Amino acid sequence: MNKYLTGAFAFALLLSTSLSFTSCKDEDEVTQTPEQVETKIEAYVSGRVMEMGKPLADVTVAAGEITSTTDSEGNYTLAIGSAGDVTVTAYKDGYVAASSQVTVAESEILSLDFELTQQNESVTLSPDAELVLEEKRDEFTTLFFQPQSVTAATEVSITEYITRAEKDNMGALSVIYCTPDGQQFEQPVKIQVVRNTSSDLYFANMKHYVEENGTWKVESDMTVDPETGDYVGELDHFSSHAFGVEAQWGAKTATTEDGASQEFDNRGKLDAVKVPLTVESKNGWEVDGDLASIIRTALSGVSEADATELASELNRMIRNAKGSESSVSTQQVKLNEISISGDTKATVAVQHKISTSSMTVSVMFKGQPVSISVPVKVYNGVSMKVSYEYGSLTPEHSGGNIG
Amino acid sequence: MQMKQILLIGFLFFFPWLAGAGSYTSLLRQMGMENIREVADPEGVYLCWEDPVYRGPVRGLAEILRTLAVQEDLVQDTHLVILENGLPQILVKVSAADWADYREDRISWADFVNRLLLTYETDDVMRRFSGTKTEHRSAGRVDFVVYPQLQLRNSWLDKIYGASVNIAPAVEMQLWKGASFTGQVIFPIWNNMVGEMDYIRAGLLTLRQEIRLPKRWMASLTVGNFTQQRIGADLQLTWRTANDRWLLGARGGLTGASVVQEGRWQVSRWERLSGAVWGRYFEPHYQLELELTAERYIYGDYGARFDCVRHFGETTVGLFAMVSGGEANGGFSFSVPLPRKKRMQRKAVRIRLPEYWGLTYEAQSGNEYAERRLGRRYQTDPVVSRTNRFYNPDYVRKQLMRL
Repeated sequence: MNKYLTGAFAFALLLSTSLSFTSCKDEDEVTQTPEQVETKIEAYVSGRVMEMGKPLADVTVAAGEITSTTDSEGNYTLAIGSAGDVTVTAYKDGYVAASSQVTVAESEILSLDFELTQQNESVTLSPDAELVLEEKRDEFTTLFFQPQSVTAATEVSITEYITRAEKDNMGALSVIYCTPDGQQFEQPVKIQVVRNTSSDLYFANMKHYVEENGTWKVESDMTVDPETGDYVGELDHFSSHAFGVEAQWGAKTATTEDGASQEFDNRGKLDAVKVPLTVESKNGWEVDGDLASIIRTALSGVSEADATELASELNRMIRNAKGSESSVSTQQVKLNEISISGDTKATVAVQHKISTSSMTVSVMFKGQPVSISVPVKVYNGVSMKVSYEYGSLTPEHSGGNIG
Repeated sequence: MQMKQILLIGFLFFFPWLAGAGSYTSLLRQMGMENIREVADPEGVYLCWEDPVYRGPVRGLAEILRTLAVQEDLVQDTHLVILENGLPQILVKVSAADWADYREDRISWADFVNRLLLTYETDDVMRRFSGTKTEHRSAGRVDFVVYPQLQLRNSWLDKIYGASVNIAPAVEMQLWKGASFTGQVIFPIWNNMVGEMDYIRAGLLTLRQEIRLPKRWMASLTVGNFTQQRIGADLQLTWRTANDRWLLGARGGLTGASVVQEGRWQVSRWERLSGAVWGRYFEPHYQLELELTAERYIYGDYGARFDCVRHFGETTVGLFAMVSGGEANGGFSFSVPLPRKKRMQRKAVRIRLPEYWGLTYEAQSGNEYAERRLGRRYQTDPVVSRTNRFYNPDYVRKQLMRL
């Protein structure tokens, strides 16, 4: 029996080893080295486009030739590619367009929200008639046209919209887009901006700003109408106009919050793979604290009505600095596929980028100037960092082997 | 006195060497020895055996010497040959006078051992066994040997060691004279890497034929799956002096790749030629092996290696230095005996641990050394210890004295 067993073993081994002679594979085919590729995450801009707090779909968001269209949630994502400065514009037929110049970096998603406003219908301004044109959205600004303001009948409109004027140190209560753009008037047009606070509380040094080439510049001063208490001024042509005060933005304090990391394990495999990457990004801004409490602390003895109204006005100023209404949301940003090398495990760690800075404006309270600083927390997007672990085919250094 | 007894006494008077003929075979068989042959002639008693019971090359010999020493009827010169895989390894000659002196306590065990003639030269003695029947053959008896495997590699930045612990049981059996089969399967127990080590895979899967040629030449041909992910054929030639102080060797191998990638065992054509020539000197006082090797390694690099190994009984500790492909490497090694000193006698199948277990540390494990796969050599034997099958006369004598 042992002889037969012995013979069977020998035959089986001879057969199996001889079978290896019939392998037609080159050694290089069998002992391949893991495919090496660069794992690169491009620069992205993503955010929401809203209209009066509601998502706005089918808005075209463009950075040069790179375009995206917002979905039903108002979300968009632009794959910019490499780092640099880009101008991002959001536009839709019938809406006042909005744009912002930003700096993007690779392995980062820059959060950029927009607020679009539907353009108001125009009304006819006749040469021999006066016209009172009130902005329909917020009902904050009214223009008074005198007779003979124009030499021929002109279709005019004004639309309240949200601008992004932090860099110009402007705290705007109201921003209007006027058509026809560039229209000159024979007679000065009176501006009236509503003031809802009591006579104890108002903004000193209200100014009229005009946008030139993307920058807001002071055009003229505004005063308080003693009869109505509203802020009044004049303009002599149509453009984009803002009415507000100087707002100083303090230095930004940057912090981070850890987000959910993702792992892509390609260890033990020779071929590189492409994997989809979806990252959760927080967008928007919010006042870091209770605004009404901040006001009550700064203005001792302020009435509740005034505190509430001033809070609303300060919110308007911040939204016109940041370019969107106050809200924080989470967006699932779908990025382009990334490549993972063979025999490599890549972990994409996500950090939410947050900055906090304070807007300081001056108010007149009971005849005295008082500075109020409002801390604002902004979610600027995410940064991503890729770390690697390697499998047994990819040693990283030479530290010795025991075996 | 009966006629039969008279005839027997008369017969033994004229043929005294026949007095114990055949009786020592049963003695050795009771001790568990295999491949036993016995011859008695006017020039003495000749015994050869293979020892599958005692660990190491010396313990069994010591037991047999002590057992034979108390045999009153053993009064001739005795020639003992230890076999390994059916082939003679060492000759031990005991003179009749030494048996008598030791038996009658005129000399100590140390003196008895000192008087032994130990030599690698077995040609003449082995001719005596020609035509003699072999008792208690090893062929077909199976050892199921459970090899523990440990590997630690310091080559990654995310962990101190890439470690793997395996159990690699092997079926080992002698087939016919000089032929043996090893069939090993590696079972992963634990590892912190991803790759081949996650899979149950073939270990050493070999068929070996050894031949003892005249004038102390030994040749072996091994075919099958080796270590270092190689499969192929290996031919080795060695020559040693009678006292085994000097050994010269040469080997050549033709191998292909044998790898487990993504769960599949793949082999390539046998295309890589490797080979080595070496010389080894054994220094008897410090029990040092000094070995110098010139080699073409598996992946075509040429190099030289110097090993210095000291035997501390059955334990060995060694240092090595090598250069290959222009890169230097070095390290140390050790091997220790595993329990038990005496194992159960073999029936059909026997389960046991390997006799020795060792580890080697080498400094180079990554960077260019790994990338270019320098200094790689395969093993064809699962036992990595220089004490295994080490029948050097000086070593055997020294160990006998300790037992």
